[in-house]
Amino acid sequence: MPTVNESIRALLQGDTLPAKLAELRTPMLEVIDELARELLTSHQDPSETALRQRLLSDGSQTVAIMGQRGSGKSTLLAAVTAELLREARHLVVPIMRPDQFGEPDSVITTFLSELWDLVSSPDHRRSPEESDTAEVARDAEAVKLLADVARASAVARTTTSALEHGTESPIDFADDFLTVSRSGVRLNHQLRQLALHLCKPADESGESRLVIVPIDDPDLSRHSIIGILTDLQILSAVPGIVPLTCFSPDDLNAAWVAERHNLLPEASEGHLRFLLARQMEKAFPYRFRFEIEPIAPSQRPVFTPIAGTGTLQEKLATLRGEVERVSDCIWAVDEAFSLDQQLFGLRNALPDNARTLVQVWETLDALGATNEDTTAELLHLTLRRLFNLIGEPVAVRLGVPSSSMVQVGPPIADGVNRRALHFEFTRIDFLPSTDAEEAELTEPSLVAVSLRKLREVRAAHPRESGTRRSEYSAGDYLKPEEITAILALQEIGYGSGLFDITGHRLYYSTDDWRFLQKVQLANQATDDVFLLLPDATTLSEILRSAALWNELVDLSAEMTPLQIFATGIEAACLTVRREEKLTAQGDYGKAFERAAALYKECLSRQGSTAQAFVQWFERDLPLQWHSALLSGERIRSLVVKHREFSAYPARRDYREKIDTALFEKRLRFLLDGLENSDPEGEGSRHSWVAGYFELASALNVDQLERLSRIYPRWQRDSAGVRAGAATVGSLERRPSSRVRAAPYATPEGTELVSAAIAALRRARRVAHAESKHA
Amino acid sequence: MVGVIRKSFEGGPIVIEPVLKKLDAELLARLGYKGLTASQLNDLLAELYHAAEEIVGIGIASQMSDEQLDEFERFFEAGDDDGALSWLEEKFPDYKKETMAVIGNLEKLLAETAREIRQPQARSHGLSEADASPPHSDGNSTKSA
Repeated sequence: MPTVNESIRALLQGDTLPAKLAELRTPMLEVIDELARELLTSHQDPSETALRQRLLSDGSQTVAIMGQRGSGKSTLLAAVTAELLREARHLVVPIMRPDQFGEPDSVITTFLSELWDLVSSPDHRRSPEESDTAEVARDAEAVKLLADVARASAVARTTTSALEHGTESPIDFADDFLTVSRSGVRLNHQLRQLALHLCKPADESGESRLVIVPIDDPDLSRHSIIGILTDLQILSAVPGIVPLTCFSPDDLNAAWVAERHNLLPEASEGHLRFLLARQMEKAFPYRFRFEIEPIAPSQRPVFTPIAGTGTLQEKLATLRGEVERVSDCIWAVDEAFSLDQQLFGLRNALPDNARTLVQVWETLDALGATNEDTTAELLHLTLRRLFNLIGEPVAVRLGVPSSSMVQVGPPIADGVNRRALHFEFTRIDFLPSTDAEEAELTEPSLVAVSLRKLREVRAAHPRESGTRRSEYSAGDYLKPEEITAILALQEIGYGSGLFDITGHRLYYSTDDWRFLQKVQLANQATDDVFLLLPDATTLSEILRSAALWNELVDLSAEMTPLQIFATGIEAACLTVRREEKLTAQGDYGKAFERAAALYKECLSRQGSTAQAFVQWFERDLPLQWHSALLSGERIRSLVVKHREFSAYPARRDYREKIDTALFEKRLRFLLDGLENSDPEGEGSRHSWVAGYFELASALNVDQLERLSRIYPRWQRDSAGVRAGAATVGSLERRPSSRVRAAPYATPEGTELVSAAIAALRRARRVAHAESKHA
Repeated sequence: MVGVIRKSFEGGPIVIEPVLKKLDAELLARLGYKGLTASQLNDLLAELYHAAEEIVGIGIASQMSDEQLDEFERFFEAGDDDGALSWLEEKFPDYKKETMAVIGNLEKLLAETAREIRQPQARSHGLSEADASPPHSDGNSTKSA
């Protein structure tokens, strides 16, 4: 990690400035050169200059660096100042910090004080090694002019009440009042005299020099921002004096409006904003504005602080390596934090301002290089700091301190490397969104699958608990950076495998994948719980799962249902094997074998990625084993293999033994619902549930008897679909070339087609109903 | 005799056999569905096809005894689609007639629906039903194929 001295040395050397700042430094220096040239012209033609000054007395030449807090404004200000000092061409006063001003200080008094020190020292001379009489005389004159300016400034700051107390008669008061009221004009005049003296070339062939006045963060001062801006405008209107300042426009605007509002309570916010815009244009002409944009997502992973070694991405890779070594997890934290564009509505989780990025970099840099001696203690310290640095946007949104949102506890008694962790994300609803309409599956088929792509990861924080999703207002939805921050916190917590976590977890699970699929069995709507991916909790898991899901949707357009399910298994495997690309799978059995091998491997790993895969394999995968998709013999064989895995030793106690509880619960739920909607218990509308008979039988679950009651109905329904396909499925279907199609749809034609389609569907329903009573 | 392509359960065209019935745009035109775009013709044709397939399938399955259901299912368990079709032809030799009957009923349904919809439309345009011709419709489209 670079020390402060190293950073300053690097800044002064001027060759290690981040590209984003270096690209602004050059034009800033060019603008200052340009101002110096303009000044030389004015010195060469004093009469025209005097006329111009009388007509345009308030023109500002303040060079302003603008940007959000932590964006590198002060660094750029320091870098430009350092470069000007190195050039030694202009008079550069030390950087002024109004946030450190005492009660009597102001920009002008501080400027005069610093300038006094400067001209009192021979260092400022154009030729410091020479001490000729002329230079000494010039300095003496400068000091005299400075004293005049200081006096004028002091007089200008005299308040009326001070005059009242300091004068003995009305006549004295009137004299003094007149003097004070003219002092502003006098101060201006004397500043011009002083600047002319300091900046004018020593001889006819010489160059003009400027008085540079660097001012850091005037918007953070406790003093009146209006007063500071006034001082700045006074200084910047003097030819030769160039204030060089940096501030956050948001903070400056807020301070100005608040102060103005106190002075003019009756003024509307809109009017004040209008006045502010005009004042800003005067004080900071666009020609001299230099704006630092937030650091782009693609630049954050490659960020390196001044004098630092190694990028953030390299530091994150080291962190990943160390955590994976200590906790034996699979943790793609470096991938998650390297997102270079917005994806599924998520952004790069690294801060977009340089100051916080430096903090992240320094936090990670403290780990050093890959080191077998890195202790869990050090890793926990690093992760705790990351929680604070990454979680700020969420804490602000939820209105809670970071420390209560993420509570890290002491080491767990029986876990050497593990700590307790509590996430306080209550009342946040995590949901997927899609652009695609839900498909209407009208073609008769034993298995019909329609998948929709995931467009955006969304989350809402409704103002009142219990608000329905349909009642969310726009303001209830979290911003992309807030959702990203939550997932990044979960990345550190769940992904690292170093914590035992309590509290509300936000993740994509059964209901979310269910929302994106529609499955019909023997032309019957189902509960759509067939094609699931492992639960996705962390940023890297969500990004990976969403991408895999959408790839699966693309591939599914050309696949049979069984191929879709086989490819779905492959997609689940690739949530762990992150380096591989999803390809279409044709063999369900082989896909299962690959998943089984990976399951065995994941049993010995920690972290949510491996854990989610284990749970998916045990809990979700068997839900596909339905007789519409697989033969009874195949289902029985899969169950036998699946149950064998319960004998594998699991490293962590989080793993539940493969059991039938969840499957049984789902069956019971479905059967209860079916009986409620179909009191006769024949299951004619949802006989598909009985297609789980083979699975239930192989697992020996409690619902077998209920399933067997509706199995005959399912057998007949599925036979009907197969028989229909075998008979009518043999008919040719093609538009005839002998009937010319209309070039465009008419309202009459559309009405006709709609009515015909409705009639045909009604006929299908009637046939179903009649068969039920046959 | 016109041949048609039959699709296997795997989806590849494999058998040419005598036509049962052609469901096509000409059939729809004869039933009163003129002046439709290609997309509308395809949609309607698909619906007709799906309805026929489902209703015929339901009809055949409802005639199967429990033993026959088990037998029929075993062909699919074994992945023997051709065997299943041969079995159907053997056990339900009249299935083609029944299919024709179902399609005939659906044609009637479509013709009635077209009449119901066309009559008020023609009245509102001040035309007789016969005059309510569609844009660019083929005058010969009512000829049988």
